[in-house]
Amino acid sequence: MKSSEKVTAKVTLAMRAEEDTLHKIAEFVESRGCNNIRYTIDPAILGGVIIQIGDTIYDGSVRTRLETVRRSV
Amino acid sequence: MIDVNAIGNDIRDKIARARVSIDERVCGKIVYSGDGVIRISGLHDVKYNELLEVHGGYRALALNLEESSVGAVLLSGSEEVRYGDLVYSTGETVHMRVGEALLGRVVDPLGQALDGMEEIAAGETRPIEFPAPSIMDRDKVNKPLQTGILAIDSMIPIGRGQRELIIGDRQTGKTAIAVDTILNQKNEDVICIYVSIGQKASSLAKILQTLRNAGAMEYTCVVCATADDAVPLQYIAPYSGCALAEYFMYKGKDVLIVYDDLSKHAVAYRTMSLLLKRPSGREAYPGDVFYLHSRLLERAAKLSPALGGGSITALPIVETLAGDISAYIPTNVISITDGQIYLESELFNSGVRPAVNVGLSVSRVGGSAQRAAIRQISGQLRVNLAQYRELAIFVQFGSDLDAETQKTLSRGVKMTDTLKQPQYLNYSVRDMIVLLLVSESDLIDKIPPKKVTAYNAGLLDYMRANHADVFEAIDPDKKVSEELRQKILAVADEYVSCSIGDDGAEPHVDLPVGAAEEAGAAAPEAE
Amino acid sequence: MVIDLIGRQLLANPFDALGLEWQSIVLHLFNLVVLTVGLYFLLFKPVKKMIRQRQEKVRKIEKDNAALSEEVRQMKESTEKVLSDAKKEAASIQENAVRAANQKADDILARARDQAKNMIEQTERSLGEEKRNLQKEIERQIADVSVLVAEKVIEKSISPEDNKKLIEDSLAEWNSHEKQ
Repeated sequence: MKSSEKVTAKVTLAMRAEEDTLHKIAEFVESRGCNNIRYTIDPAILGGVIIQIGDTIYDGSVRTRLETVRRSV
Repeated sequence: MIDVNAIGNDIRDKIARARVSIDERVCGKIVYSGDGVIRISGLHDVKYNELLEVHGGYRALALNLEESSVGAVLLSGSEEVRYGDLVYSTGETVHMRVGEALLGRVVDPLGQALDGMEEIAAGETRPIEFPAPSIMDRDKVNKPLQTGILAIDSMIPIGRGQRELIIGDRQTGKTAIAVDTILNQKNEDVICIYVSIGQKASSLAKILQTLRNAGAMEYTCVVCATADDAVPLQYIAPYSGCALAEYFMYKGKDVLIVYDDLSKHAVAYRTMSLLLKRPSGREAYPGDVFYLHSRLLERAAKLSPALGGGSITALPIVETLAGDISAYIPTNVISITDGQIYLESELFNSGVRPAVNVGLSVSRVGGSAQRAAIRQISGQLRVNLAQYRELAIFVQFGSDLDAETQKTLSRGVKMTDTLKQPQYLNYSVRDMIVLLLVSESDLIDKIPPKKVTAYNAGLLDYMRANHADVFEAIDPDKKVSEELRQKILAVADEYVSCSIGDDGAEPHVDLPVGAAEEAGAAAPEAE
Repeated sequence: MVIDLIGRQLLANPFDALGLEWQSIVLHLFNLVVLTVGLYFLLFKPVKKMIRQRQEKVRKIEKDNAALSEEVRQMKESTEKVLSDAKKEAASIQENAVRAANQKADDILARARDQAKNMIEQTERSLGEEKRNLQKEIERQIADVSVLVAEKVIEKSISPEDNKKLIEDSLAEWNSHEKQ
């Protein structure tokens, strides 16, 4: 992905987050060469955060963790 | 009956072992899903043949890599996967579970147990696609693989490391030959793998029953993708089986692998290719259908001693339609393999079973691997049979035959009878030597044509019970000495007199009436 | 008287008394010789020959008879021998056949036993598998229910602080991955 292009990161949260958390997220996203962020609130992920940059997905949601545990049984 | 505590402990154990890591993963989104095929946008760095993980724990195989999307086939869950689901790349190819634990088991092409027995302990895995051994890694085929079928072992011998095609119409006993061969590997230190591709579950169950009852499952693994399994599973089944075979081969073992059958495999691949919208060629097969089978069969090999000297003998099966061996898939596979066993429904229906057409069947490398004694005896067999077949066709037009022709014909009939063999009754090499010797000697003229089969069966029992010393004296790896030949024939003669008696000397019914009377009238005068 | 006279005449001259002359006697004798010789050659010889031939024939027949009876005797002997041989052979064949049959019967029995054993094993295994499957199904159900409960609980009870901590943990982990 070329850095000159405008790359949007999709960030999914379970609930509104505090300003400094959002700031940290922005920092992280920028370190991955991303200059635009779109936030979504989805209570279904229960907690944590899902960040998608291009093809790469960072999944830190409580829902996914639960799913993983359930599938491993 | 069910231990509740065990369940609780088990769950606790599993949860403790669960990997709760927050991965960063490459993913794409499904933009099309239908007929077990998905199209994924994203996933730019996915590789050909890579295993993909679809949201919900399903598996897919990436096969079409295009500029804007990836085409993949689902190995499971084609009903659950829907538009918008995420697909993750795994960075792995499809792996097959391998190891000794798979012997005696029935597994799917990914190595999961299907036979309702305990789970297979997780062990080693092998990629299902693997490069074939190079030229330097190979050795000459020099050891026979005994099928236990007289017609095949005497005239179309198969060596360990050979690829011998079994081809014929439906219901001509193709699978029976393969199963008989597996059964005959008992105590031979050969591991057998039976790959069932697109077969009916009922026929597979029957084969399994047979193998179990004969105790053949101890050294056999059945890899199966039945007709109701997903098409991609049918497609990868032979490669999975081959991966398992390779595991044993590289350990220095001899392996026999049966692909039953490759025409269904080609059909499965055609289905996938058409659904993936690949361009189709002859008979709607995609362009690489030749490579599909050649890369599979090239993996059958005899390894050089430096690599342990193991081998994979492949017996692919191909079904023809109305005996047409010039169709696309049959010609392809014939040209890849080292020979073929051609089965004919006409022969089958006229009671010649196994219905091997000796004229059209060949073995290109097995001859050098044949046991010395069998090679010595069976040299003339093929020629004699060909002569008989030719005469038999010719004789259909007229009935005036001289004595020489009569003799050739009657011997031919008896030879054909000798080569008939009921299913699941395998001959040992010694049995074969005895039967061939008797059928080529003058002794055979004493046996009435209808009694040859019964005589042969009886002779072997008689010999084993009463002349075990002669029987044991036969060494399959040495030429049969004249002395031993006489001994065997003497035993056979003895059995003629006690099983058939004098009525064998009578002129048999095949002679025209006039000739029979002449022969009868001439006899007393001679005295 | 007359007799006496005749007797005396006979005694005195027997030839004269009988009216015979010695010449005729000689002639008669000669005749007799000729007749005898002639007859001998004409009749006696062929008859003798015939008799000899007869005798020879009879002798030959006798000889033939003797040979024949010898042959008959021999045949009888050999028949007896063949019969006894055949009996012996039949006995041995039967013995052999019985042995072969016994072996075959043993084989069949062994195979049947094997099959029975296989079947039992198979059944035992499938029973065990059924149990395992049931257990697995129970585990799965428990896991499903637990996750559902967990979801409900988390949905209600997750605090912004928890959430913040979760997010920051995740970010820290991803960053550490990146550095590696």
